[in-house]
Amino acid sequence: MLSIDEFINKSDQLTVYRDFRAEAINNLADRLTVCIPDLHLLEKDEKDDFWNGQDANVERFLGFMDFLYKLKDSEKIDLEVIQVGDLYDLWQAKGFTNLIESKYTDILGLLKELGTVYVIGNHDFGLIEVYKELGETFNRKLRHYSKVDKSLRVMYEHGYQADFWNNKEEWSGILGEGITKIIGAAEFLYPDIDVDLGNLWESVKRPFSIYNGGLTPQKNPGFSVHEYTDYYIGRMEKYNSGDTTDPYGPAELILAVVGHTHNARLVRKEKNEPKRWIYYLMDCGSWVNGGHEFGVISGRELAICKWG
Amino acid sequence: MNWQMVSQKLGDPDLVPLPEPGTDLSENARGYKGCIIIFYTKRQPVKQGDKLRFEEVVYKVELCKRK
Repeated sequence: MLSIDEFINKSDQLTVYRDFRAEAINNLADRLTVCIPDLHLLEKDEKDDFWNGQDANVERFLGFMDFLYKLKDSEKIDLEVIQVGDLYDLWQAKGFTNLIESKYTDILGLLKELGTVYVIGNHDFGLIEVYKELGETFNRKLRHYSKVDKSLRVMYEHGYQADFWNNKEEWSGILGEGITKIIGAAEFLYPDIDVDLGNLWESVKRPFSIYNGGLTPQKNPGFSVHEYTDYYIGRMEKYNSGDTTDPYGPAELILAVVGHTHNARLVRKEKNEPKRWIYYLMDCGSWVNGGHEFGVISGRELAICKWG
Repeated sequence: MNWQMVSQKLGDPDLVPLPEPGTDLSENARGYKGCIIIFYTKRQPVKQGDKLRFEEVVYKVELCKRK
């Protein structure tokens, strides 16, 4: 398996993004794993870096795909590519997948040749919902896992599940149900309302986090705060203690990989109760708003890299 | 037939139905009400130098004889 340094040295376009790099105690995956975050194809607004007149951005992403395809096809590197949701922007693309497939033949064709695993996001979960009764999901799934020695080590989700406004566990009682329904209905009119409300909430909390952070010695400035940390560590703890209905067998989850926020971050958090675990949350960033980041996992190593 | 040739000639399609269950997402159908034609398209690999690229091709056409 290529180490992350060996991977980066394969191309002068590759660098580690903002020193977001770590090494876990145990192996995370049994092959080199590349995690591609949000693309929002055919969102068709100022956030859509692949829309008309932005050929340089399209070429940059295709260059990245060409690089991965060469690794897999010519160099026979054992590579898993996971797209962690919001590949399509079905909220905005009139004509469902049809126009996206027509517009982005090269991007979608190369992703398919790479054997990409598709996790759905809040902007493309229709690919599962619309066809649920027919049992057809076009290889899309709600979440994906990496296993080592038959044990789950990494969980991949888009991340919207953790949003304050989408996470029903945050609410309780009739008031909570009502608010969740209102936010859900509002998303049809303004799809990003959940993200914007979440950002508003985070902006309220941030001054307090900064105040607390200023009093705490920072051993590794590469690690950052993330609003989903507690949610995903809670999820991983449930799996690891067997407190889940998902029939995936033994779990030693130590890393959750997400996208959704368009803001790349790597978080490390140590828990000592009931036993010592070191958990990681890797937010892979995005390929919108000028972003061109992605996550990489190799053995015990994990990093957020950028292309170009 | 390349789909781009069709769309340049006839413009944007009026009908873009959901893909059929059991097919690849890249296999789509596009229709023109005025002409009563349905084009079935899929993605096909092409080589551009040493690079792998793709184009959409029409692999089936249905012409409706009655409205």
